[in-house]
Amino acid sequence: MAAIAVSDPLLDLGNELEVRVLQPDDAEELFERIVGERERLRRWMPWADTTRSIDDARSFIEHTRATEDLDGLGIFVEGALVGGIGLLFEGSGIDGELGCWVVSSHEGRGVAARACGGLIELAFGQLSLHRISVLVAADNLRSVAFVERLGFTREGLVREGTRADTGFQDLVLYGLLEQEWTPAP
Amino acid sequence: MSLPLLDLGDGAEVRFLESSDAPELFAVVDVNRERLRARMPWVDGTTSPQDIRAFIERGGSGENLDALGIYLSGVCVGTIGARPDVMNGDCQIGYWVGADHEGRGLVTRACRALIEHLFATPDCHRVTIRAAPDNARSRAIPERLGFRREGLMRQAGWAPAGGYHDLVVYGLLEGEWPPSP
Repeated sequence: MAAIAVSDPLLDLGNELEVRVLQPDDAEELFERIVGERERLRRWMPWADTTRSIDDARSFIEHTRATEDLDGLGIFVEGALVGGIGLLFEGSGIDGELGCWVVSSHEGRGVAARACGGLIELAFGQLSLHRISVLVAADNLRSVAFVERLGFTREGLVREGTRADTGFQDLVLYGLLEQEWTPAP
Repeated sequence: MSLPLLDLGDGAEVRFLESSDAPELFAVVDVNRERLRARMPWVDGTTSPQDIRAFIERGGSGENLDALGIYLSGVCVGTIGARPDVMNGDCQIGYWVGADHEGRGLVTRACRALIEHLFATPDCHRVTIRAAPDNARSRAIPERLGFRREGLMRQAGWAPAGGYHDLVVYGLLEGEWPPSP
């Protein structure tokens, strides 16, 4: 568990949108969401294929709760799980890698943008990070556009940096510095 | 003492660090403290052998290759480590060595042997090295070993002397190894 005081929910973003640290009891709901979205997720997310049971989802949650990262967070709308979000801390102690996904029924409604914005606020505020990194599959054009809208700068291309259903894929590396972040009005 | 993980020849080896190595490794950190303060975020927080012991114990052994020592004639002269991202098949290498042993290719040999070891495991498809743009010695290692420059992470590093600094990202794919002479 992260070395900060984790509130419950971690982020209350208003209009019934919350980000919470996933609990072992959330495993069943997490698994259902992954099953429902598997065909879409497996194009980009290596874990979409390896999460084959509720027990796999529970192992993921328990694993993330045992680390210092904030990797196993759930995005909840009106109490229902609609996606995942997380922050992995780099060895430098000042950089965190952000990742996020939402189910298709909640895409295009600003849910991911508000959840990411809330976590970035927390990272630059309470967690005192200086920078956030994001790695996005180069041909995931929707995510590329999303990250650029959040204000991230393209910094490089990590060749074959991830494995998905079609094989290894290049990842675009993005960075956002503390002083570049403008919170949503 | 553990068996060597990698035998580099000429009395040079890479081994899993053990708790009993902490006083010796701390002495190397202490002698090189001013130099390391410009590169390594952990230097000022490393004030006793106990801090080194904690690092070694976190690094573990077996599957986890994060806390390895570079030894010359049985004496620990620096460290090397690999952090695997098994899900993505990527593995990041980091290293440092005392000033007395720089510039003789020791770290390049240790990296070469570690890369061989990593590519022989089923879950490593690429190796990443990151280094500060002005750290010519550190950057020479991936450049010599056939890595390609893939990007520049702005202000992604921090060190007690100098504060935030950029990091050059280098990548090497399994299919690019070994580099052609």
